[in-house]
Amino acid sequence: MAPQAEDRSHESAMITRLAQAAGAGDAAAASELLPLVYDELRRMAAAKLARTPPGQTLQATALVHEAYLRLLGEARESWQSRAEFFFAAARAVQHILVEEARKKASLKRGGGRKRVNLDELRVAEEAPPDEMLALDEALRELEQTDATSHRIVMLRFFTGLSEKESAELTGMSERTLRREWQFARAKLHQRLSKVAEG
Amino acid sequence: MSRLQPNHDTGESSFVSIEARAKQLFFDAVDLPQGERTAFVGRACGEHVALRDAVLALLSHSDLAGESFLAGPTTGTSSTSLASAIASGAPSNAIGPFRPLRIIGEGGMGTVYEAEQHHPRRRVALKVIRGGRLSESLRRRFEHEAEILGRLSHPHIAQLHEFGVSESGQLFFAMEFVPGKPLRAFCDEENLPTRARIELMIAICQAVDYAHRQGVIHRDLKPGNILVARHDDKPWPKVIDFGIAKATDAAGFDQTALTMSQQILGTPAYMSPEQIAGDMERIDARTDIYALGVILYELVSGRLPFDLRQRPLAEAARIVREDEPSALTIVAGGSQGARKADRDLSTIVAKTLEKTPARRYASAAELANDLLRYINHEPIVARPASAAYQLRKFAQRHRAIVAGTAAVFVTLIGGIIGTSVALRQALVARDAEQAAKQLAQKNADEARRSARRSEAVVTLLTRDLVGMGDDPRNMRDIRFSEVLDRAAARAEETLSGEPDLRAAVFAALSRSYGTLGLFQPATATADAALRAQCEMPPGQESDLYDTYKLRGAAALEMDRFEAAEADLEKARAGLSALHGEDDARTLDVDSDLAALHERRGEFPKAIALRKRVCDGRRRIFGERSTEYLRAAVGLGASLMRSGDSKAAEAQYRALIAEMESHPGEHTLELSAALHDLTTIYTEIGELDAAEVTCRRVLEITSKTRDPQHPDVLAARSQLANILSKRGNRSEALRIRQEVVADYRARLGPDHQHTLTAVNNLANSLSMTGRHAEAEPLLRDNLARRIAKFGQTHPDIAEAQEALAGCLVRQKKWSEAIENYEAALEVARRVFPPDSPYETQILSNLATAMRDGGVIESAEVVMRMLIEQEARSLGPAANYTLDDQRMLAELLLMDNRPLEAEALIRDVVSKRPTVDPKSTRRFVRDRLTLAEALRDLGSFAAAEAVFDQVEMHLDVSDLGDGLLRRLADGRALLFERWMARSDDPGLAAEFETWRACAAATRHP
Repeated sequence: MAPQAEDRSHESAMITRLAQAAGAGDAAAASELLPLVYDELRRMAAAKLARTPPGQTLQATALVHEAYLRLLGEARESWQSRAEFFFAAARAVQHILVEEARKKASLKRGGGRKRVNLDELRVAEEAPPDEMLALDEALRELEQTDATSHRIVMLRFFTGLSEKESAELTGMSERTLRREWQFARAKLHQRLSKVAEG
Repeated sequence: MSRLQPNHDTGESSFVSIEARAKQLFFDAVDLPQGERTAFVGRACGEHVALRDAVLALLSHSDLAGESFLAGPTTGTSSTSLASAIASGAPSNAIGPFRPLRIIGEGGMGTVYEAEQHHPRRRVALKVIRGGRLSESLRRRFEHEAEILGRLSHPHIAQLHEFGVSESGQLFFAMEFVPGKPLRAFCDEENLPTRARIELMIAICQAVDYAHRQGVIHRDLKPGNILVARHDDKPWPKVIDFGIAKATDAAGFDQTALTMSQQILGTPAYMSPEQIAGDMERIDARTDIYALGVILYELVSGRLPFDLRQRPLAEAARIVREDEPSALTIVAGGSQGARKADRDLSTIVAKTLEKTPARRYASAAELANDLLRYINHEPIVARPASAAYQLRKFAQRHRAIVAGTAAVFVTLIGGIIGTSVALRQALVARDAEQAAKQLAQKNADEARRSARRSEAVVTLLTRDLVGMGDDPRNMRDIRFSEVLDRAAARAEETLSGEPDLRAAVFAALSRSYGTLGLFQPATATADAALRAQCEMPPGQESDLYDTYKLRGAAALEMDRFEAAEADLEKARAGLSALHGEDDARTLDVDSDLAALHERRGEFPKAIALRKRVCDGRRRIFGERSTEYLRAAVGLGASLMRSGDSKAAEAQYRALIAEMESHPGEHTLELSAALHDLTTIYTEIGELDAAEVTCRRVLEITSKTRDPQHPDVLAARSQLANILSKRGNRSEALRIRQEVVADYRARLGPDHQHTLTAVNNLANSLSMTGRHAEAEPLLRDNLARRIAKFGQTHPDIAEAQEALAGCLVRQKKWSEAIENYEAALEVARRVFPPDSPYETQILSNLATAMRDGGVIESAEVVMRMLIEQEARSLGPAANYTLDDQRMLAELLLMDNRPLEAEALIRDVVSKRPTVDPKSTRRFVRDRLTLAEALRDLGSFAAAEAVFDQVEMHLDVSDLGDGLLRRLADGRALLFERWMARSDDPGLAAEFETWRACAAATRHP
């Protein structure tokens, strides 16, 4: 047990350091952060799933927050590094959801009934896979044209942060954040309506 | 502000992306109450339509995205899932009795939903227009308009079921839901052959005609507003949105946004010239017919008559109003690719796309009938435009394409055909009948000849110009001179058997080359015209003399004075014998002869002829005619060159005032007058006025002339003069180098204009210290001028003066003085007394003498100069006063402070009346006064004046020279003062100023 604990604290230190560097604008650190957070989330999910009764969903938000508390909660971090952590977590959640949606979509399109191993996050089962994929694409576009807007959607949507929390994390006023959020929603709604029609 | 003016917002968009600007506006608008948003966005975006639409669309999506949208994938409650939120895409609130189901369209005006109604149970297309609350009277107007629409009932028009104003103040229209595809998409997807497309158009035209007869105009016809569904397996078009624009307009709410949206509904591609010009008064049924024409064009050829993509609205508007559509080709339904549409279909389309509504089909039914005749292979009613009309259109098109050569085209076309007065009238006359009558009254031969000439011209022009390509964008790149070259090359062979036509064409080409400033080909084509005239039977001598005149004028421009005089005299003798002394044609030759005299420096002869031409033309053409104004400008030029600046300035000011009261009518004459006025302003030292005027000339000429045209070169040259006088020597030098190169290329190294430009360039070089380059250039220039003009010519004086200036700058005093004296002698011979040239030479001579140490002579010359300036410029003019100060300084040098003080006091008292603003003059005048007072021994008074100067130098940067003079002057003052007084403070002051003076020398 001891080595494992050591490993985890090593991981935790690493994530903290990377989050700090990313928060200070280090792009390489930000990209290194993602796989670490991702692995951590998966690991936590696997552990939790083992204890969760069948049929019950696991909430990604809760998971992310728990991960945050475990990994960074003790340290007094600047909001930038916290934001980086949550952003990385949001990406991780998005990745998981999108992957899941892809699997479901390919299953839907045929190829026989395969048993899908949903041993990771069982979240958002209501969202039809095509729409999650469409959202993913719309978000990619948004990231190209408006990074701020994109980041706010990531934080609010995938990690379930409240307006207040998001404002704190991004260093914006709540009023600005609300507008950014309204804008992002309008933009995505417009984009997704087009997809829905076309 | 006119609605379609280019707008600053639009211009900015290249710097800030439209997304970023839309986002900012979204931020600003999203918290506003619903009713105020549209108006706010409309105001904020001005005419940036794309931006406005983007913001409005975002706002509507912000409303549509319900609470649940993106609330999070992880909340776990199925009712608020991402899926259901996106799928519905519908506002929660019903509008009137309708429940929107999904968005089927969006635009600047509003949103169109597919919606359902319960009683009666039906599906409708619900158009909701954003806006604020309506007043009672506007509401009634809106309802009145909408009721008329409700009465429209036609199988090819989507029925308006209901309309109204929703609780939140939105207008809504519930229309028959047409489950079809937009016209263009339908045709392309079904790959309909041309015939089927035209059949669809016929049905559409009939529907439009029905509505027109009910008094309803669509105002926004475009393929997107025509939906086609299969009906009993036949394509069945339905026009939607009939009259919605008008009804919405009647509601009048949110004026800015809505009026704008009418203009830019969809794209400007379907808008008629009157509509795109924002001319709401002139919108009528024929506006719809134009739109039908564009749709027809598009369906048949697969493209639009004008390519307006990526163009700002103002540019699009210009294209629609001025350009001609590209030639119609047929692509639809054929596998062999695009081919030229046949003549009848092109004629029909051309008639619907006429710029003038009166020239289009009078009704949509007439268009439908012609289309029906066309597909039934019957003769159509529309006629291709007449040759004369095509010619006018051709001229108009080229006015648009080859910017600025309009005048040339008028000359060309007018010249070729206009030799016959009858045909000119025919061209001007509105309808052919009247022209025919006029022609019939003339001698029949003449008429036939004219007709043939016009045919020849049309063929030549269309083959050689239009034949270059159907795509007008290709035409843009063609220089007008190339067009002439092609025409000239073809005329010889095409018209070999027809000397009279050939003569007419070549004469016209010669005139056009002349207008373009291309005198070599002007002469060559005039020669060709004369050769052709030799083959002609006698009886048309008038044309022959015209050609001599043309050739003479070209020779004059090339400085071939002998040849010019021979031709012009021949022309004058012939024309006056034929038509009389006072005939307009004789006067034209006199005008050229006047220019010849002027160029030779024979001013009295030139002025007499100019006056004669002025009087004659005023009598014949009237005071406001171009002919008279041109002559009047000419007279002004002669007066000015002869040195009579005052008379010339008066002449020009009056003329310019007259021409500016009719803007746009006499551009060329105006720019000529402004050019000469610039010269006058420069000479009398009004540099601000000169620069302003000069820049106006440049603006006008560069719009109408090519950049190497002599008029443009002259204006650039002038600008360099002004800049040089203002002290911006490096810029002046740069311009002059360019101008010399351009003159040499255009007119040759020995042309009078080239030599003048070289003279100016050498001056610039010398003034920037490059004497080694300047001096040989000036000597060579003087030699070339003597070879060309002999010893007595204004240009000789100029060259000698310039050379002297260069020598002065090298401190070669005696040689400089010699050259100035020689220049003075020539100037006195060629110019009238007190001319500005003489003044200038005197001034330079005086300075050279003073600096060369010949004080006594300098004083004589300066007094001569001041007297002369007092006579010509006035005793209180800036230059007079400057020279009076210079004399005062000379007298101080000569130790005559009493005389100096009197002179400089006079200057100081007069200066504020002419130049209260110039600090430099203020400082210089007072420095001289203080020095005079000091030298007189009035130390306290001198110190007071120095003090004034110091205060001025403190606040303005006038350079070290004046500062040094101040320090030196004061040091000397205190030195002398100390000698006369025991005041110990004086010694301290002396030390201070001596140190100051030393500091200005060794900073």
